[in-house]
Amino acid sequence: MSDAILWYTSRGAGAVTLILLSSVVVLGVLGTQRVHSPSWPRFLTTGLHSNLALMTLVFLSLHIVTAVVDPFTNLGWAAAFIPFDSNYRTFWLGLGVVAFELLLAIVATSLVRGFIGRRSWRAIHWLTYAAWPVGVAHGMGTGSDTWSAWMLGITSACVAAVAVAVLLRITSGSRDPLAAPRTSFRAAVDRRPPR
Amino acid sequence: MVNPTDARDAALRRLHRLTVGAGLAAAAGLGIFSAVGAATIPGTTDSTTSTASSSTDSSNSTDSTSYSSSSSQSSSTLQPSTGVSQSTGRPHAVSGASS
Repeated sequence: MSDAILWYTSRGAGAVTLILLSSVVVLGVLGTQRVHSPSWPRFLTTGLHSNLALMTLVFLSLHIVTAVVDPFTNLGWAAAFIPFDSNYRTFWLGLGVVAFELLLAIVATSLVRGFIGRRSWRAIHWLTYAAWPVGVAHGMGTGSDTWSAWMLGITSACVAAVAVAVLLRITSGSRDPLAAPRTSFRAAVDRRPPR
Repeated sequence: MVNPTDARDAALRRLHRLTVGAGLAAAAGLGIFSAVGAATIPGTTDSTTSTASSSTDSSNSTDSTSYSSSSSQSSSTLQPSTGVSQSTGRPHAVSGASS
């Protein structure tokens, strides 16, 4: 396979990964907001969120593999798994490795959610808010196409979509219908005199 | 009134369709973005650069432009590690095997 094809594929997979990951983040936020309608039940949002997250890992793997096997930069497999180990663009590639490993942890813990408990899973899932910007920074810092009009458009659209979703989450608060009863129950338990 | 089981099955079918559609769109996106990337920043040496490199001493030519280690690669697909793209107005570094 031509080295150039590997390079083009790696760049294309990087762009697709950014779009997929941003979609996953937006769907995750919409899931917490319990967005639904008669034709769009809540589990559709979370199901699509999960499926796209797995799909993101597939394209991210393609992005990494094509970058590693490309002989031009001679990255080596260690650079794909050890952050800031690469001699080639150490910092920016290191950010990519950090984002990859955070995503791996998020997806892996989601797959074994039943075993680790909801609280641990939720704590690790919050890492998404770190993984996504780190991934975007990786693309902005080391992407060959970063300043191309098409890639600028993709990055801008992804950043705008995630920003709107996060803003929606911050401003709308919790949509959990049991949040208020749960809080009052805990308060009542706390007020109870010790025996 | 819609049967809840039917509604659930319909939603599951929709989830399947959306997932397959997203997968196909992502695969198509991979091809399109790779092609667009190849068209905008091919990472190849143009004839001017090749001529300039070939006319200089071989030890000096590697100072300005280094090439892939693949010896079987033709000159049309060589990727310069440094330099400025000639295809766009905005100068930016061109390199191989990066995202």
